[in-house]
Amino acid sequence: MSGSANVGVHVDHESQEDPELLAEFQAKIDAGQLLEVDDWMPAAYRKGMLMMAEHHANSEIVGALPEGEWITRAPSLRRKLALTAKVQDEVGHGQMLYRVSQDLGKSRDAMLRDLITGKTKYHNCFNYPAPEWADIAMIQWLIDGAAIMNQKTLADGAYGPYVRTMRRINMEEAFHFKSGEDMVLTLMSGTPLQKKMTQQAFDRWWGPSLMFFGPPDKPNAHNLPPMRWRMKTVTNDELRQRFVDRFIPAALDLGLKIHVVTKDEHGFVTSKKPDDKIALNKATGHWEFTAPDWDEFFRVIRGNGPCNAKRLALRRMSYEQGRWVRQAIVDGSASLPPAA
Amino acid sequence: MSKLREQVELVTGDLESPPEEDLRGYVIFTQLKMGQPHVYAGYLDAADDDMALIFAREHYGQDQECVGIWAVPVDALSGTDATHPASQDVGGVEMYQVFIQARRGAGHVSAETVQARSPAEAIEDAQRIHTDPSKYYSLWVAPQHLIASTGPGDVIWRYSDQSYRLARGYSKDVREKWTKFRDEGSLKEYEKDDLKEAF
Amino acid sequence: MPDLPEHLKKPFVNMLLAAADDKLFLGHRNSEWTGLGPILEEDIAFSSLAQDDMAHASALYELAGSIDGRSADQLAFGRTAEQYRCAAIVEVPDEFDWATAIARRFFCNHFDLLRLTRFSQSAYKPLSDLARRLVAEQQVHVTHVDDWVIRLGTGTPESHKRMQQAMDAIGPLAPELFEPLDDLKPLVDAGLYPGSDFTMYDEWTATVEHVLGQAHLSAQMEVGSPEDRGGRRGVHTQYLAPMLDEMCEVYRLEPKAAW
Repeated sequence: MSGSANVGVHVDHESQEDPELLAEFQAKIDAGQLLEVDDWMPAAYRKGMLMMAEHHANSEIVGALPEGEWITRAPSLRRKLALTAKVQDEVGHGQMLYRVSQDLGKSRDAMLRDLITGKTKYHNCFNYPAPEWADIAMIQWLIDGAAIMNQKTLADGAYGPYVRTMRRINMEEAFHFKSGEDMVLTLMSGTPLQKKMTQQAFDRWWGPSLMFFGPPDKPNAHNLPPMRWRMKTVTNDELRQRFVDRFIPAALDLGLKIHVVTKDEHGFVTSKKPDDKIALNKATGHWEFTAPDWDEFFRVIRGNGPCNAKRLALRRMSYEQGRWVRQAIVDGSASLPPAA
Repeated sequence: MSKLREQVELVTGDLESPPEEDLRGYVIFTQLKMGQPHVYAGYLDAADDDMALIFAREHYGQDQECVGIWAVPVDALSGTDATHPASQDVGGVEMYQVFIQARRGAGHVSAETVQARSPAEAIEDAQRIHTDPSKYYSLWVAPQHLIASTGPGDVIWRYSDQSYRLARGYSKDVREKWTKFRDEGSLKEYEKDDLKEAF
Repeated sequence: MPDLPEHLKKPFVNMLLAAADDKLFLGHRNSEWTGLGPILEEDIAFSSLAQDDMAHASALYELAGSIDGRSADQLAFGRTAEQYRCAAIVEVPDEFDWATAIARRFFCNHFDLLRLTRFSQSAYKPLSDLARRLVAEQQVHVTHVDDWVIRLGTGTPESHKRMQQAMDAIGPLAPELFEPLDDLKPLVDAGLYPGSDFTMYDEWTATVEHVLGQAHLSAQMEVGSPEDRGGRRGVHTQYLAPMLDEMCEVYRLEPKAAW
């Protein structure tokens, strides 16, 4: 599971930079060239990439926590193994993405500290509760499904080190998604209890998955730095439309009902009614749907999500209680190789 | 520990622990099959070479089947790019491992070894071998004795069934299960957005 | 499947279950660290070991089930507490203490290496074939945990103190790994579990003490008396039942269903 790289990252104007260098830089991007460490890049681009990779890494690290809660309760040996592996992958993705930002000038320790103390953000969807086993199935099917659609586009980005990382991440995402699909299919082929559990989990996660791609596009999205600089290659709304075109028919075929829901401050569903907008528009070929509640989105992104505090507290505990371990391996390091 | 997860104290504010320095950076290369070059996998931080290899084995060594791993301290790398300046200080003759980045976006791949008295000389030697600049984008060199390596008998990729954590471990089952719910056409359309497992 | 003499099936399955149960709960306890480890890279590595343990348990359950007709999941999730054959050392929680987690893994990993080595010499080919593969992987575990015991034992005064405390807490539980199973002797005599528990204990003690010495640590490991009935004979700590309640929480909702 990983983050949409387009949420909460603001890229400054490049007005202070040498116009010739800027033009060359833009030309490389427009020509589809990948930027490598030696290419000149505007300071705003470096900063933007650092923050984007950091946000993405944070999302992986926090994303590991809701699913981590269910590792000990997975209902079969295979699911137990698979969920452990998935959460492990997320830690690995976080580590790799932090490296992209480390190379752009911020230490990993500083990034972990900023995450824990709330100075930097992570993807919204990880602020929601996962109260049932079926939530794990839905997270891997819907959220990882959304992440894959997003990440395929990120792998088309312009920044070499990030693109190389995305290629490696995408391979594991294939497993995450397939395993999620397998769980949803199994549950929807199962007992009445399993189907009911899955419908309820779907009701909880449909909204967050629509919100995964970020708020509706600003009118000039294509001209803003993230897209102009190929940090982002497809707009939020385009991605969201791709997502629903794939998942609405799939959900309907599985026998799931798509609802518009209201939630309480803990993220639990308080009411639901069928989304009567769900229909295939024969003229456009696209599926229509009720937009998610963007007020809820902005509330959650400001740190008032139901599980913000708890998940960051866990991460804090891991950091604080792990300090003695990190000190021991540094201070006690006996075998220093000879200087280069 | 699940109880701990539920009962964790909701502390906020500044951290009690003071800031720490990051551990040493290493670049990791994996050898997918015997006889093949070592290819760039990624970076990691570790306290020393032994730890770097252990970490590399369980991280990059588990992404796809491989038979060997190299961990190269970032400090040991010199290259044609400005981030890895090459020292001109001349010392005794040493063996250097050369790595080639074929084009923008590609990862570095191990090539030949050269003998040289300094990293700058090693790079010059490598450039003499790879004379056509269009055939590569950048190259790195590292003193061979600074490269930590797994041994021939080391277990990296496990013998136990790993299909539980690979997409191919689910593809067949998933396809079969879908056929209970939807027709071939819808399924094909849906699968277009699947990610391939290999890089 | 080759045939086992009828009267040896139950003890043989019992023996496999002891190994599988140890591995399952070690893996279960350690898998919970995933996402919360003290260093990202070690979080990843430690999780690999936990997965190995659960995969080993899975394979051993499959083998046991092939003899007595139950599925691996039924064996893993469907028994009552007294039917498990794990030792106390894998039942105790580590309370999110890294030193405890490492200390527990240390004793168990060395024990498992020796037990799996005996399995790899079994006259029952499906077991010896399986165990040979598991032994190779087990070596990775032993190398890993020895490295950490030594690093933490010799690291800082604080890490040394914490590791010694963990050894003091966990060490006394370790010898119970060697509690004899019921009907072990016929299995040994039939070559299904070749070797001797005495030799195995001596080897284990020698190895463990050697590493502890390098780590400047010590552990009290006294074998209990034969009358002490422990995990191998179904007498478990207070921690097993709650751990099962958690582990089987979802499974028990629909024990016959596919998940």
